[in-house]
Amino acid sequence: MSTPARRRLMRDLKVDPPDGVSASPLTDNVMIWNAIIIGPADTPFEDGTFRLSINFDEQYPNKPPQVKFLSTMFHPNVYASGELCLDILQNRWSPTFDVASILTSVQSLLNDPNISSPANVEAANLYKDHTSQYAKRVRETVEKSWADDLMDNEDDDEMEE
Amino acid sequence: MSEKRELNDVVNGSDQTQKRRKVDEISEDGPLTQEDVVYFQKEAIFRQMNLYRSKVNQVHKQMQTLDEQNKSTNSKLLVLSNWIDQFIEFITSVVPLKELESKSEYKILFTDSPNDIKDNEFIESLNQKKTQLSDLINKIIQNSGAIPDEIKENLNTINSKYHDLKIKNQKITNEYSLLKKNFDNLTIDFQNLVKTSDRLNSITLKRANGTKSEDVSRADTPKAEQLEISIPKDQAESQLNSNGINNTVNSDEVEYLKKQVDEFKATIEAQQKNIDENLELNKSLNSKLVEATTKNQTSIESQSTVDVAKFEDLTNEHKDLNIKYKEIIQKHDSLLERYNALESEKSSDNDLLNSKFEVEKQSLESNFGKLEFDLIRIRTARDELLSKISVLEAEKSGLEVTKQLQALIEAQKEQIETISLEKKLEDKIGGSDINDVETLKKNNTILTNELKEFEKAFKNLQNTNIKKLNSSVDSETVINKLKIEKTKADQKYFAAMRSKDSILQENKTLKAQNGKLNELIQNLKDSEALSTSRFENLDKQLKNLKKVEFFRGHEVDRYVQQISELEKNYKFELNRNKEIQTLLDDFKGKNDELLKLKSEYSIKVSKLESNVKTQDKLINRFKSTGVLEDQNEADSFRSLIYCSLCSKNWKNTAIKVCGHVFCEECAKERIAARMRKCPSCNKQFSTNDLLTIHL
Repeated sequence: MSTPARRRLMRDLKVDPPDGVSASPLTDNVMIWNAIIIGPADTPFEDGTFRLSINFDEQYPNKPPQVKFLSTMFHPNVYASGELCLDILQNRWSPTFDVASILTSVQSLLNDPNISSPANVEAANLYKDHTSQYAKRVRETVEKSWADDLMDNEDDDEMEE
Repeated sequence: MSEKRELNDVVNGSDQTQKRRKVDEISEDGPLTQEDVVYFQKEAIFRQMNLYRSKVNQVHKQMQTLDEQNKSTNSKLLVLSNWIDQFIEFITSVVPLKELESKSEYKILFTDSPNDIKDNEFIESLNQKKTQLSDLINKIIQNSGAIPDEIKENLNTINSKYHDLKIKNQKITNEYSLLKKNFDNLTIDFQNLVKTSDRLNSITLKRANGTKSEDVSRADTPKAEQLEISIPKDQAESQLNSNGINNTVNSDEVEYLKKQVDEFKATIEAQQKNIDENLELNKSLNSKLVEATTKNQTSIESQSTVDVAKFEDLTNEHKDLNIKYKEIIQKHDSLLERYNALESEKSSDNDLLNSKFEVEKQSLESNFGKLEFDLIRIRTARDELLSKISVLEAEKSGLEVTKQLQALIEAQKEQIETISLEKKLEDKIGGSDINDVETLKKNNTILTNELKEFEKAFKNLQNTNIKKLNSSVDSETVINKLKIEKTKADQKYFAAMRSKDSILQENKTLKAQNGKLNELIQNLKDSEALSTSRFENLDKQLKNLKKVEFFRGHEVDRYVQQISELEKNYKFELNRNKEIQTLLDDFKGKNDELLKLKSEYSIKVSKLESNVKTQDKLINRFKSTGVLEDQNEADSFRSLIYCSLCSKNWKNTAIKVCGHVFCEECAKERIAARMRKCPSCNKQFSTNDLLTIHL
């Protein structure tokens, strides 16, 4: 079955993702993608492998997809549920954005949080006033992200097996 | 895409050896695959573990050092406590103490060995010992009365030494803290370095960050080298391979171009040689020219330098003297001006002060005269009043006389009454005696007459009395008025006296001011005398300087003549120099021409080299299997051509407002869905803004 959304997603798949980002749809459902963002170097998120799920609906690309972190995050613009507070995923969405551009903006958001509209107030306050403590908390999430991912991978692998 | 590989990796488990294999297997190009991420994770974990391991090692080392320190301090403490024990024992044995009981107490306390006690208790015991020791010492001191001087001195020296040691200790601790900070910084740096080195060594990181890893570049470079090497063999290879006609044709072309390049190179070398020769010639000529000019200059200089130097010295001296002379004149003028100014100030001040003084004096004198006049008037008034008072007092005595008169009148009245009573009685008695009565009547008439006269006299007296009374009352009022006037006059007198005193004081101050002014005038006169003496000195100096200037002028004239001669010589030499210069210019022009030729040739060479390079590139492109690049190009073209929204249809509808192009379907769909904004730039558009285009 080929809808405009699916065709568009297939095109997105052909586009090379940016550096430090891996993204691929589920084998059985093109509308749900799993992505991994590697934390940019020289930031507290360095070496972290953060998993995201991107859920597209049939209105894509006219409507933005739902992007959500699967790994636990400690970031001023990420809710506890993992949902992101990113303008281009809400009111500033444009149909010309694709998976690669979404992930690039999420990656850049990691090191440049938007303090003016915090989703995680504690993280925002720490980022503002106690940078070292903020970095420490982020490092914890980074280490957690490795463990989570390995577990998830094993699960996936088992399923595939 | 990559499920098979991932499966393999998972089956292989997660040993270290397996990791090696994985690293070997890491995909070199294209998007990051799932297993790439897994490698990355593993390496990241490994790096973190290394970091933590190093930290743990550091902590262990610190623990060890701390343990050692602890042991040493413990042993030191033991030694110390033992020593204190021995010391106390020694003191107790040596000094004969009166309190033998306390002695036994100490002994009991020191039986416990510090090893058995825990830290806190140990410290407590140490404290106790300390207090006991101090007590003991105090007691000893008290017992022994005055401390011997030697011990005192010893104590002082020990105290001073202790102080010094304390200061040293502080310094050392400061240094230690500094060193510790440095050490900490170094360890942090070291950790960072280890981390960065790890990161640099990790292949996965490079892979993740898309730096295409060294392997790729390595793979590229050898290929390039091979190509370069293979160029000479190209002909043979092309003949052998005979892959296509294009290749052979290109190789032929390359051969031809190579030959051309060789030819050009040969010509360039020849030109280079020519240029070198010319340059050498130029150099030799230059050196000759320099020699000639130096000779010229030396010949001129040897003659003139000495004289010129002397002349310059003299002119300099002359200038200096002139400057000094001017300075002196300026000083003189300034001093004169100052002197004049001071004099004018002095005179003006004097005039001012004198005028003020005189004005004040006059005013004071007039005041004084007025006051004296007042005084005299007041005195006269007082005298008059005094005389009036005496008159009034006399009148007062007259008043007393009138009173006595009144008393007399009253007494007479009483007599009259008694007489009248007697008469009545006589009337009653002497009725019978008519003669008597007649006489009596006569008497009575006489008496009544007398009475009337008395009454008249009495009335007169009363009138006079009343008049006198009135006059005395008037005089009293006058006296009162005069008294008041007198007091007023007194007050005026006192005020006058006071003003007189103040005037006297002002007079004194004015006299003092006058004295000061006189001193000032004296000072000014002294300064004037000084300045005049200075002025004379300056005049003398001026005369001397004029004499010197005169002599210098003569010398200068002589030197000017010499200089004119030397200038003539110098002109001659300059002419010679010019000739040499023209020769040199000619040589330079020749050299420039040669250099131009050289640059032209080099430009030609570079053009040819670039030609060769383009040819090489062409060859490379034809050699490398252009299939992949073609595919990539086709992909990129496809992404250009297809609508960026649905990527199904071709772009055939442009939005006129902003110029972005989409497919008709998507554009209409957006208009139908009331999303009338350009997907790329959010500019509003309507159905009229759509324009079908034909690619």
